[in-house]
Amino acid sequence: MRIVVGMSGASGAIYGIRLLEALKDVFSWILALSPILLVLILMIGARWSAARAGAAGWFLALGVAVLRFGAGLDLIAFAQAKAVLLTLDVLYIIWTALLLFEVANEAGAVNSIGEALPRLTTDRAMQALIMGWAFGSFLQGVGGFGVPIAVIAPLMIGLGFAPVDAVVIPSIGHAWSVTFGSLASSFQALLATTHLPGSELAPAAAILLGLTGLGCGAMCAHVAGGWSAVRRVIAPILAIGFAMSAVQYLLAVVGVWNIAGFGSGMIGLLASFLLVRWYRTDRASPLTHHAPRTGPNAQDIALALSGYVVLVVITVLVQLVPPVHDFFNQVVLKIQFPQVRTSLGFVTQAEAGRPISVFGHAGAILLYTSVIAYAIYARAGRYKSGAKRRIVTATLKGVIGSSLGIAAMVGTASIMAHAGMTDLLARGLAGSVGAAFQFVSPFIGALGAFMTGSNTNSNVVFAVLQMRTAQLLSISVPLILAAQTTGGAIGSVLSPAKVVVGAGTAGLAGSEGLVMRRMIVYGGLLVLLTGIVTFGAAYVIR
Amino acid sequence: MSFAKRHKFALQLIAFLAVMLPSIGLFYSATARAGGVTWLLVGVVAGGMVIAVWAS
Repeated sequence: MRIVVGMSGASGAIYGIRLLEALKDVFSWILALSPILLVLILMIGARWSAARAGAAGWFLALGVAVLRFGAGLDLIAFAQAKAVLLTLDVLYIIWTALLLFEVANEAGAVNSIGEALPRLTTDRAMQALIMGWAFGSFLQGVGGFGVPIAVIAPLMIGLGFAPVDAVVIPSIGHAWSVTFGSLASSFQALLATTHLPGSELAPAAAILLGLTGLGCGAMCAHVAGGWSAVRRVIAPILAIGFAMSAVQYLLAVVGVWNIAGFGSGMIGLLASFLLVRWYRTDRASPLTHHAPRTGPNAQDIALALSGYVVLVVITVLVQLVPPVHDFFNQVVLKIQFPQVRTSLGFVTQAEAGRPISVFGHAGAILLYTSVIAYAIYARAGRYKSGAKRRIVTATLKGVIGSSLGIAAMVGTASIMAHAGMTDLLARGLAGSVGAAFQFVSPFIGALGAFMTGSNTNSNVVFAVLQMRTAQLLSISVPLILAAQTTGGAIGSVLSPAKVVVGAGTAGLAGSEGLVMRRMIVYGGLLVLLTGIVTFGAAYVIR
Repeated sequence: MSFAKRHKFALQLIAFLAVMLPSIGLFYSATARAGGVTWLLVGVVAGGMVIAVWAS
């Protein structure tokens, strides 16, 4: 038998042309991916900050967009102008959220709450749940920016926890609260970049994050005392977890998602307080720790929480009472952008840029709250001289690096989207991953947050890509974006930047690897479970 | 300590303003098809990004 290998001249030429076209497509796809890859490599490999790596990514995106994807000057100008609106929308919340946190922190409010909590129980697993999970989620809700780990890790070491456990417990404990935490700045980034309404994205995101929250609680108990501790405190995990998840879901769904993380953390603390009164695990558990007998009294705690009560009242008034809502939302910054087209024919339709309500924005609400909270704490004599200057300095120093990073990354993402690079990436992803995309989706979100140290940045870089891919594959967009931000929330606590901060506050500088190894196992498991849930849910929700 | 490290906050602030402020003008210059001004403003944004890489 004779086997003929080869082709005739004509079919060989066609095959060659097709191969060349395919290679060109692959080359374009790699070039479209290159700004994201560069940011990854610079942040993980070279340990560059988000601002530095984001700026480098912006230059590469600009170069690739102009030289390969046919972006003209006008397209770049409109993409950058649109990016600034998106950046302002996100930064308005980040700046004022940190301001409110500094106002409360300078008054000793955060310390008062942190010192009171360990007195509730001497059980090690319950302490891990209350401190790392409930209090961590509360701190993420009102502050974020690594605050839960920086505040809780030293307190847990003081209670007798091993330093590595003291970092891992609050890190994993608050992971589920990152998206709606920091007054929902990460969720706001998701809305800003996808142009989808919050009412469409909030339910799926709140459900997926709520399920992740139960896993976070179980993992806190596991770190504290292994599987026996998980079994022992399974009822409090379910009770606190359900309470926190349900409150987060309700607040997000009714439209006040900026207080969803904070509200769920608050309910978590309240549920913990009520639970330890009747759920005595101390006698059954050999894993007990000493708890401080002295600390702030009830009046101190009430004063410490007063600033956040003001936040709830103002948010509910401005967001949910129609006359008040209308009054505060009279001034809206809105720009109508024209249609733009690359020389290769990719069209971005004319659209309104992200509208910003100057006085009714979540950032404005935080600003009003900060001023009122400052007045309350000052009247109660909680500030030493020079407090105002310290608050402003700490806020400015805290936000400038992250603001620059967000501005650079949003600019990068906007140029990529307008040049058709994101669209090409989505098409390639849809073609190669196909039916497994819903499983892969949270891993993409986690990777973005791992590389940038931020759920917000991950949403900025990957949300549009995930949305476009979901549309091409006819998968529920809210579900995929929920998976993106859930993965991003988990990935952000695993990021080298956060681990370094945590290790530093626990006196583990130089031993970050010990923390990272534990974190990767717990965090990886959470992302895996999120992928499985998303995969299953995609067949139910269409 | 290097100049960039000593003045990190001020440089990052300048970089941030250089990225944000001209971007608002970009909308108007591109709408008016004022190519020269648009080039200039894109140049200022790029300058801000260079400072961001240097100072961060």
